[in-house]
Amino acid sequence: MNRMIKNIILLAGGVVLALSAMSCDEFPPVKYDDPEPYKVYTDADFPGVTFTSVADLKAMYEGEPVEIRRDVYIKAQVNSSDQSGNLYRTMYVQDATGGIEVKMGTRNLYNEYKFGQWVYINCNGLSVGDYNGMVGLGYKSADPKYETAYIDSQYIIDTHIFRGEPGKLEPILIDEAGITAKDNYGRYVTVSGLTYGNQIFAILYKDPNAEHEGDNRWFLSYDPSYDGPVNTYGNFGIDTWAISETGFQKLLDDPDFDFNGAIPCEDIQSKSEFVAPYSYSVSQYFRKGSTDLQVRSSGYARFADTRIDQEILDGATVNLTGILTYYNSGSGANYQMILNDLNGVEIVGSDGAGE
Amino acid sequence: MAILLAAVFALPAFAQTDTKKTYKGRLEVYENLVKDNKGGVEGTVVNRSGRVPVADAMLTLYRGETVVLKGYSDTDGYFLFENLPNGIYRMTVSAAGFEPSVVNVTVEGFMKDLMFVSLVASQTVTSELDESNFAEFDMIDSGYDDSPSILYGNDVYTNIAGYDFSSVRFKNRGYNSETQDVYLSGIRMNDALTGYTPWSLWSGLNEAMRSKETTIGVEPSDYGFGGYNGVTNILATPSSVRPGWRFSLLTNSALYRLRLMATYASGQLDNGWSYAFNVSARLGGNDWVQGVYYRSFAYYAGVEKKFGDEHRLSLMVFATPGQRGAQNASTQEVYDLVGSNTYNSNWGYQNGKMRNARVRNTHEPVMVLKYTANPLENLEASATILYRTGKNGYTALDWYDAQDPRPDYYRYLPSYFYIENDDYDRVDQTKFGWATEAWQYNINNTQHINWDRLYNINYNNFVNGTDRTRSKYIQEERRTDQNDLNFNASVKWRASSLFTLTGGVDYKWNRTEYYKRVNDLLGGDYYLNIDQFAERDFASDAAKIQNDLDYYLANGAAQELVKGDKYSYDYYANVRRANIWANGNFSAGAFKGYVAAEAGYTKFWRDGLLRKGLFAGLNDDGTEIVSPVTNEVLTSYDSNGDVITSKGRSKVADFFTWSVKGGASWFFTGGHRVYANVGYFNDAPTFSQAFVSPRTRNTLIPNLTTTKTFSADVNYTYSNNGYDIRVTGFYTKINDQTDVMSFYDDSQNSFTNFAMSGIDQRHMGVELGFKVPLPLDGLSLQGVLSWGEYVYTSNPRMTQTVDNSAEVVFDNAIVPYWMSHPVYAKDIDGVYLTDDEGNYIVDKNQKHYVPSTPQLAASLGFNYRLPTYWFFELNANYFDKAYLDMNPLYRTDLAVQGMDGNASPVEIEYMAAQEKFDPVFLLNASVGKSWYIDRKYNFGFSLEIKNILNNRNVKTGGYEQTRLIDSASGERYYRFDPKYFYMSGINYMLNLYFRF
Repeated sequence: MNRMIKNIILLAGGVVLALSAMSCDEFPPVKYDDPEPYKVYTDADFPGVTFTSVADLKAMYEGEPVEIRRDVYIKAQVNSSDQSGNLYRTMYVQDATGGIEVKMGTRNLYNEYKFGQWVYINCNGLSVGDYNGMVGLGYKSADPKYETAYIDSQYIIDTHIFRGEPGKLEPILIDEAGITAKDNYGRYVTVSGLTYGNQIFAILYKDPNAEHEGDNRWFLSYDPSYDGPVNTYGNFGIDTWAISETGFQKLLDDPDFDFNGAIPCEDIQSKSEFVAPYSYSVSQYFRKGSTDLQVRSSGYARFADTRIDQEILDGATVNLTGILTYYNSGSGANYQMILNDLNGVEIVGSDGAGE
Repeated sequence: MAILLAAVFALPAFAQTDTKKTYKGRLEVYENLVKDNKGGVEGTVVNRSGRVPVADAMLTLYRGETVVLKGYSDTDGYFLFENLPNGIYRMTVSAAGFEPSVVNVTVEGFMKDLMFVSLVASQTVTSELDESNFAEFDMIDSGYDDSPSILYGNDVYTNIAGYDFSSVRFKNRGYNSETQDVYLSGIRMNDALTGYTPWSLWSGLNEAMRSKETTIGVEPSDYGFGGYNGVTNILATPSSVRPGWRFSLLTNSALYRLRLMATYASGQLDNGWSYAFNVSARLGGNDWVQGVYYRSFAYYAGVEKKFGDEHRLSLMVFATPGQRGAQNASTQEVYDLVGSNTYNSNWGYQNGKMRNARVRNTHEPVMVLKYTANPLENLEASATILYRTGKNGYTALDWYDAQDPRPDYYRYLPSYFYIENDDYDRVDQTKFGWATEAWQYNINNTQHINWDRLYNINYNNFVNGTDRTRSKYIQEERRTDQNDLNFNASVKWRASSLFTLTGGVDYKWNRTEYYKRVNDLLGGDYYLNIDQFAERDFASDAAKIQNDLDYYLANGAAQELVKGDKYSYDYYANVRRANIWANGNFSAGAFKGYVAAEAGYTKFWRDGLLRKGLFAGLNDDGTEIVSPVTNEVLTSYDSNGDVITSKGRSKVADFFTWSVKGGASWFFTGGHRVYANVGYFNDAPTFSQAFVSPRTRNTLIPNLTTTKTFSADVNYTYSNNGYDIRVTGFYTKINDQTDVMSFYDDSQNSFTNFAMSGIDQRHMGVELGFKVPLPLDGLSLQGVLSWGEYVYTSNPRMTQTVDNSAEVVFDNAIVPYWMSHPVYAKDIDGVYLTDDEGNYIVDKNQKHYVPSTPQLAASLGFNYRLPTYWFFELNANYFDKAYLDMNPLYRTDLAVQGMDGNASPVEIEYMAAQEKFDPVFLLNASVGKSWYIDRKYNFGFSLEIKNILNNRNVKTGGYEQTRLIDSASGERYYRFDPKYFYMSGINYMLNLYFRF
């Protein structure tokens, strides 16, 4: 009998060892080693590739969206950052020939695409399309309202956009003619010698949850054709870069605030017609000579409710650095600037004396 | 306490003074006994696995083939048959839930003491049932609860149902886990904050915790008043652990690979000492759910000393330190893409090693000191102190201003790009194709957490020209560290053969600290203690976004956090609870009855340790707090004008409670018994159900009141000649429950809380358990049926808040489609019919059911047991009428009406409906054998194969996501897909043990 016991113990011991080996493999270690840093792509990873310039890529647009069906590689530097929240789901890249929007579709892009970082994009399978006068790179759109769509899918991004080395990027200094030059759209630029225009453009909605059309809208804009007192409203009392939801609530709560006297008017009788707050993008106008540059900022930007410096409001000269964009509203051309953040605003002097 | 002391000292005066044991069982005598003969037999019927007395065991004494006498053991398992003529007798012993047994007795003119007559529970596999039979379902961010209840008992129904039904997380009678009272050494162990039964405190200590005494339904126990869902008391004392050495090895394929266990118990030594220990390790993963693993250990040590015949002191310490990887639920879309219903989204590869982001990490030692006294033969008293402390952590990913790291986040799925119905406005079939391919072929590890990416983003997030990196992703640990002190004293006084009084007092003191700490910076240098969503809303005021405003005011910047630092929230939950109860038992012949009552006082409050910028409250001097950044007042007020505050003590919520119950039981000749119980209960809500957003503020939910429950049952049992039957009918009405669901809402980057009050439920149904011997010796047919209707009977009120906003989204609003929704009449073409006034015609009201358990569960099987210690079992299970957990949002007017504010029949029937799971059929088998070697060593095994048909479509739970999709038409909302948990396919469990 003792032998049987011995056998049982041996057998059980064997099973224990076998199972232990298995389960040790399965219960994970307490410590994990840090993963390797990302692969940094260089030109060497694209042997035999002749890079297409951004300008040539934009030129592939044929008046209607074009899906690129061959290997077209561009090598460009990221010139935007969505860290401040002023850009959402999109980024801009540029090379020596020009800049272009890349409609990425994913959020918090600045975490993986740093300002100045080189990226390699294989445009095969992507599309170039127009959005109110600007050609951008995205994905073929399934929605007829847009010429291109966001790329969105991580799999498409991973197979088309490759992170390269970090780099430095200086803004291109442009003059008044540079603001309207098509080649500069999408580029990271500094426009110097601007003064505050005391004019804005924004569309507010009485009921933000209803359709954003018709009488639900109220335009805060300067309308030269309008034969009324509207010109006197200036910036309608909006002296922040944009309006966040909480910022708008404050305007509603402030009994003294009346949009510079614009209310009551034909479109809106009283602030009580706003049923809920909402965040609004605002274009603040700046002037360079006879050209308007609209600094368009998102209501979701962290600096949305930051008040424009009093000196600027009082007429100080500023240099603005950001991405130059263009928007054809149908009634005319709008030259716009997107600030990556408020570091792009530099006061250089008072009363236009600084230039 | 005074009452108890009075009872302890005063009762002996009234107590009987003879020391001879009195037998209070019933006797049915068939033959004239010899009056003057001193011959007889006595003993105590006990459960073999734990020496727990078995009451109402039927003992039949034969001489030859003639029945001499029939009797039943009393409540202490004791029996005494006097005045027997000398001779050789055969005594059969049977009890509900146990294998029948036979003892031969020779009566020789004196009282023969058999000491213990032990019975084996009829379900041997149940011995391995414990909390670890349930995988850790990761539902913490979903807002729903996952607290499985385990049905224990020595009853034909509970024996079978407790085991066979656990695979689908069956909840007996549909009751929540917190209604089940679980005692350990006489102390009620249900969690002070949630009420849940904390099985995990002792899982893995099966041997030390094996001895249990249980009651079912409304029945009270000797240990406490109990509720309406039974009382289980785990003895846990060293003397209750089966003496000797025992080693066991268990391997299974559905939960963990390996369990090793060793146990030793001395039994009671001659010098009055007994001691015992039990250790175990549970290790490894399983064949079905990847990423789930155990690295759990367990220890128990106990020592006990008997002083004279009257006093007994025992001390026990146990804990189950270790880690468990959790399993997450996903949508059916994800399961279909991956090709497995047991896919787990919680893990990913890090340098080739599997890493689970969600790990339960605990070490909560429990210490028990117990004193029992038998100052008189008919009086027992005990006092117990139990202290629970330690840590209970649960890790999760936390991220700041970065993409959602969960692989199955809805924006990463094909359905985000394309859904057939145009009204979802997801129209891009090409991207749908890309995403589908990435998922199906797991390209770039699409199916799993991408740890490489999280680390790399952290590596590269340099702070303004420095070489320091601020982590964007970290692994946090949410801690619930309890300090729980309990005192209990109880007495049992057998006043006469007709009347026994039990009673006691207990007191609970609990202070639990809830906080988050940084567990792993994932390659970065630090993390910042701010509220990221608040930052988006209040970017212009740095004071408002602070998680720790006091730190900010003192240092001028938010705290930079490193590994181990507390952050985000930190507060104490304080609970005090006292109860006094008494139970009078009457017994006269074939009648037994009881009346019991309990009164209690519960109070709790929150004590915030951090001042959050959003809910700054007042300065110590009562003045408002002003932001140094904007000079605006930070102090905010609720709609009643009360200050909303995060720091300091909240109002104290307190509740007086009382409950009563009673029951009666008749025994009839031949093993029949009829009994009934009825009770009315007042229970205080728990801390976890009482605050609108406990992480951030002191606000109690409105309408906080006690839960009122009425419950009654009627039962019939038959136990004789190997037949074992129970039939029960029950009815329970639960009113005024509260519940707080707190779930992670990615659109807010924060937790959203739904606090509901006024939830009413009704549970009624029948239970049947039977075991019938078949002509072949040792073979029996056994089965159980649980068939009920558990429904909601009220439309509760709801208050919705978001952790990082002062806004109250729903303010004590009614949830109109909670208990039911109308179903409208249609014609043959499916067109809704209207009456003359153009109103839609309601066809019927569809009830909504209490979820997460089958309301119809049945099992039928064969049990074959040979004298050679072989056993075989085969059973088939059927489950139906299980429903998905509902979220209140989908039952509001807002969700049903859609964006246009107009509720159409289509919208009502779509949005308010509750999902019913498909019925389930399962087949299980087990086999076992034990060998005795030299009458000293015992070696045995049991092997079970569960789900033999390999059914992989069995939903065991899940929940609705609490989000809505806007329709393209602007007329309605759509739901997010629900998430499910599925049962494992075919799996085995092999248990080997060796005992001496």
